Formats: sequence, structure tokens, C-alpha cells
Amino acid sequence: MIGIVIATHGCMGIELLKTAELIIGKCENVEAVSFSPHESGEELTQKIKQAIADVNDGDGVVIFVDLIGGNCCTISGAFLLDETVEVLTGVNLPMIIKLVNHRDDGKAKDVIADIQKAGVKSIVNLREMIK
Amino acid sequence: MNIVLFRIDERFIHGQILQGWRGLEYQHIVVISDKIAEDKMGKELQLIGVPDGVTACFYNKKELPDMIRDQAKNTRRTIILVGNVEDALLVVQSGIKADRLNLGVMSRNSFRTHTVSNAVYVSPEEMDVLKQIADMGIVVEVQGVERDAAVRLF
Repeated sequence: MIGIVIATHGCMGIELLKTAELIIGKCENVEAVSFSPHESGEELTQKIKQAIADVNDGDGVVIFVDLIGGNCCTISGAFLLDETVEVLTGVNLPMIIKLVNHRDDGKAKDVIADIQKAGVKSIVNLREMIK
Repeated sequence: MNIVLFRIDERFIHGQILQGWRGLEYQHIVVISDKIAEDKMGKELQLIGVPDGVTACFYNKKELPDMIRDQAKNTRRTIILVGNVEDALLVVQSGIKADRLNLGVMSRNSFRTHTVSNAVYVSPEEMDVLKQIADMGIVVEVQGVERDAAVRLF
């Protein structure tokens, strides 16, 4: 089972996980990591490292982060030295749900492209859709 | 050099710089840090999210004279980022002209007994360095992003 870490500024990740669970039910092996203004990069590194260890059962881990170029992104990016870890920026709810539903389909690197696509495809201009 | 922001930010280029200071219409970012300048992957990660049209470069402390030479004729609107008060002092002593020093992110630790804001904590020793910088005619102020009010420390 592919492990999932959601690392965000503030409590966005915690709430995203709660919301995902409202829609698809209890999610195993998912950890939300929050990052507060007073915390150091080292503290965030340790929290993400611990979360990866907690959710990795051998199939790898996908780390979702909120903002491209933000600190959660930069710090998660350093974990790419581990070939079993993947990082996706711009986390949204459809990406999380898609991964939870496909987390037994292989290793993290096998599903990452589809998860990215699911995230992008989920963003539409509704007015254009109903024309 | 056309410095629009001189800032202590231990996260260097991150969301607040990329999104929270865009109103400065900066075109260039100079990072002065031994830690980042000597970390190839660290530099690559710092560059993620830097908008099109904005350039960034990295120098270690020993390269400060090179930085001043390289940047002297650069008229692009520039942000200078350092990671701590000592590096800020070095930049000021090297002759870079800045009116003010912005304190952005200095995270909490057991030595930093002064709470200045929710993202800026300062030890007594660091406070002395900041006073030294202020004594050189530089306003020292705390401001996370443009939308926050600037609070003058010295």
C-alpha cells in the first residue's frame, strides 16, 4: 500500500484528510503534517521524515504539498533522494481521493503520473462545461 | 544595486517571497548563505516556483566581494536574502547600501528568548548584532509579507 503524507502550511492538510474521509471513509497510512510560522525548517524536516517512516510499508510514499516553491515543497523535495518517495505540489481533494483508491496498484512511482493528471483534470471552469 | 528588500529569512526563497512580496515587482533575488550556496540540490529546490522573468543567484559568505562586483551594475529590482543576523551584518559591512533590514523568519529555539512576532524570535546575542546594524543607520523592522504592517524594532 502506497503511503501518503500531506504536508502544508497551517492545518490545511489535516482538514483535507478529514474531508477526504468524509467522502471515502477512513484512510489508513495517511499522515498530515502541519507547518507553523514559528517552526524551523529542521523541525519540519523531522516531522516529514517521521511521517514518511510511519506510512511507508515498502510500496513507497507520495508527499502532497500545498504551494509550489513554498517551504513544505522545498523541504519535501529533499526527500526525493530516496527513490521510493514522490512529491506532488498543489494538493487538492481529488488527487488525494484518487491515490487512496489506487494505492494498491503498484509503487508510488507507478501511479504518480495518474495522480497528477487527476489533480489537473479536476480543475474546470464550470460555465464552460455546461455550455 | 537596486535593492527593494533586504531580509533575514532562514527559509530563503519560499511562499512568502514568491507570493507575499510580489507587489515589489522584484526581478532578481540574491541569496547569501554558505548552507544553500554549497548544496546543489538545495539550490535547485529553492528555484522551484520562482516566477518567469525573475532570476536568482546564490553566493557563500566568502564570495561577498564577488557578489558586489557582479551585482554593482545590475539595475534590476533586487531582493537580498540572508539566513541569520551575522550574515546580515556581513552584508552591511561589505558596503551594500540598504536603508532597512527586514526580519522575516527566524524560527523559535531555546536561545531565542525574545518573541518579536509569530515568526521572529531573537536571542540576546542576536539582539546585540541587530543593534549594531541599527547603529549603522539602518532601520530594523519586522514584516512577514507586504500585507502585514511593518513594526520597527530599532
